[in-house]
Amino acid sequence: MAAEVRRHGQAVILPGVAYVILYVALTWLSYAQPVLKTEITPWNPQTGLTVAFLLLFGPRLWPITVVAAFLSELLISANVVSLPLSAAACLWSGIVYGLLAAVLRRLDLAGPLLSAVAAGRMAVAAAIAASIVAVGGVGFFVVTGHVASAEALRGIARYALADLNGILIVTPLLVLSKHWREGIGMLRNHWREAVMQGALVLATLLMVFFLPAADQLRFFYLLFVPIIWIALSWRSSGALFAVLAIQVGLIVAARLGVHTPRFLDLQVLLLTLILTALLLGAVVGERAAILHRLRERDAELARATRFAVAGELTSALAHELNQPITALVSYLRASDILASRHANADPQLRATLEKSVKEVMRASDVLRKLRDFYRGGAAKREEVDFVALSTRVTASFQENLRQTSAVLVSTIDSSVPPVVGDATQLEIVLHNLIANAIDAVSRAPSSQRRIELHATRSEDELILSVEDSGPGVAAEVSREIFEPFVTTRSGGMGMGLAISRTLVQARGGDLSFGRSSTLGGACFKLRLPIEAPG
Amino acid sequence: MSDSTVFLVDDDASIRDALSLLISLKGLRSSVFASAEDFLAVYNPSCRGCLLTDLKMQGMSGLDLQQVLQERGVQLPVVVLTAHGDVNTARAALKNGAVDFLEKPVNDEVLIDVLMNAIRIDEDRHRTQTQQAQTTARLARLTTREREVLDALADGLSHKEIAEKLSISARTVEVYKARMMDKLQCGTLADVVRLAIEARATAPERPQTGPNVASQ
Repeated sequence: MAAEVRRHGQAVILPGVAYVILYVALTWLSYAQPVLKTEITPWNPQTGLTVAFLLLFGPRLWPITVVAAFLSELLISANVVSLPLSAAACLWSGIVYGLLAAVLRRLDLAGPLLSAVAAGRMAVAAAIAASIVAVGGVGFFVVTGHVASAEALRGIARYALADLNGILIVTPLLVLSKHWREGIGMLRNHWREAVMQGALVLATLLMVFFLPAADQLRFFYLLFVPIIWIALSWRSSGALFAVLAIQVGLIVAARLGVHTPRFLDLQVLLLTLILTALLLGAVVGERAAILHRLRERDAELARATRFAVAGELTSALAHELNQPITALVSYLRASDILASRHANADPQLRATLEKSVKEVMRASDVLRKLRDFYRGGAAKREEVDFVALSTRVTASFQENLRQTSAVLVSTIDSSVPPVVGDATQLEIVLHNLIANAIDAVSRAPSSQRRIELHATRSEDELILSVEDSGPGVAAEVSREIFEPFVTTRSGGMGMGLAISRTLVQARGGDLSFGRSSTLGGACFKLRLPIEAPG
Repeated sequence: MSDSTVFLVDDDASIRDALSLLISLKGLRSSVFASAEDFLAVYNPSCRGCLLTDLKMQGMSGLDLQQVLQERGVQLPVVVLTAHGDVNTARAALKNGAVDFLEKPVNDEVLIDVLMNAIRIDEDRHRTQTQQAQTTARLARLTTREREVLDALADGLSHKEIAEKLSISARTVEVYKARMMDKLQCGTLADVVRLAIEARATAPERPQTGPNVASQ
């Protein structure tokens, strides 16, 4: 235990020292320079630093944050009324933010905020913590009579908003410090857009601050335009960075003697800007992630389908070519025997015939290797939740079903267990069966377009049937329906069922068809052992 | 071997032609069929040799043909031709009782080796069947009494014991024994006992293995 603490201790010495120095410096920047007439900034970036430090290195380090706060109080604050009181306030905020960090970690909000819900939760948790800190921090001074109770509420609000703004801007940016390098890389690729956005922020700030003081707040809302634009293209981190820039702009404006709006109004406006950046950015990020996942799945499906098609083609080609090759080898060997019977035959003849046989065998080997390559299969062995898989596949046909005004009813027994196999391959099979069913029912009157998917468990097998109300399988193709290049669709390749059966058989199952007793069309039945063989 | 034929079934005309040429050049007789149905129409129990059949064919497949032959009690040894890499079907064919399988394209030496072996199996089987048939025919000539004496001798009983068991005189046992040995064309007692034991060993199987049952 002691050793662990020591090891742990060594790992945090450097960041701990860096944190304390940075904290004091930020406080000095905010307080020692009276940038606004009220002597405090509308935000406390050092609080954001504190929460980020606790999230990155562990909530247990809260005593360090107390030290940092007390140290900066001693070194910087011009009017320390009472040292014990300051110490108590520092201790209070250290404990509360330590707890906040622990809660955020528990809620899995310590890393990038990947959804609007996550961003909202983080904001709410930070707001609660900042309020508790403010109530305590101001409360100590009220109780001891250092602050008039009439001023208490306003003081608490300012304190809480300053802390909250600091946490919401600085913490997400610092927590993502590992991704800064990627961010800079992206910035380099899209620098034109970034420059335009920066220019817009600057222009908006100039517009807001060079207007007559009374009108300033009315046009502060213009700042939402660049924030929204930036959030759309750079997600939360970019937008928060822009808010940071606006904050710096405010400070610069104040230093230049430009009149700035009233303090509390400014804080609330800033908070609104921050929340917009955070939530909008999270939504954009969420959407991009979903799109990425979808595209990836589509790509994987397409890749697997291409592989299966190539495999089926190769297999058919190998079989068709192997027949003439077999005949050819036999003819050549027969010729060799015939040549051996003639004593006066050219001696080169037999050698040549032998070479010919070798070459033909080589051609056959190439075919074999090609076929084995595709057969060897990139089949994965994973646990596949069949219920989720069929839900996903049927969902992808919703638009198609709507267009053909067909009804797909899917009944899946709760007894259907997860099966071991390759999810993508199973998806291809199910996809093919449903696509065929939709094609079949589109030839029936539109009032009778019905497809039923039924999955159940029979001992150690999964039985899936796809039935439709279409015209059924035509007699002339029924014998060879699973052969490649057999299709009833004018634009079809005749690969779907061939591939499906190959994939299912490779997995130890079987695919067969018959006539649907309930719907009158075709009924394709898939049997799949729940445990993969071999 | 002279009357043994390789019955070749393949739906590909070139393969039929090429393989039958090769087989005939190697000194074997062959007979070709374009489908399993054609072969079944021609086959009769007196056909000797072996069957060389493709597995993947239009209509009845090689496995189907094997099944039909099995159902009919045909014991003609079967060698199957498979497309390469088709391990599963080859395994199924062997399970069905095929004596061997060959991958296309076939090596002619391996082909002839496998076919000769199949023909040998057929000949061995045929020989035992003929012998059994002869034994059965000879045994059938015995009267009940003569058969009883034979069985008793095979059980190792002495003339005296046989006489007691059958309630006849030892002299009569001698007479029956002489007539029986004459009918079975056996010179020594040892031959007679061997024949009796052979008949017993094959007796339970006789209904399945008798050549007259192999007919459709």
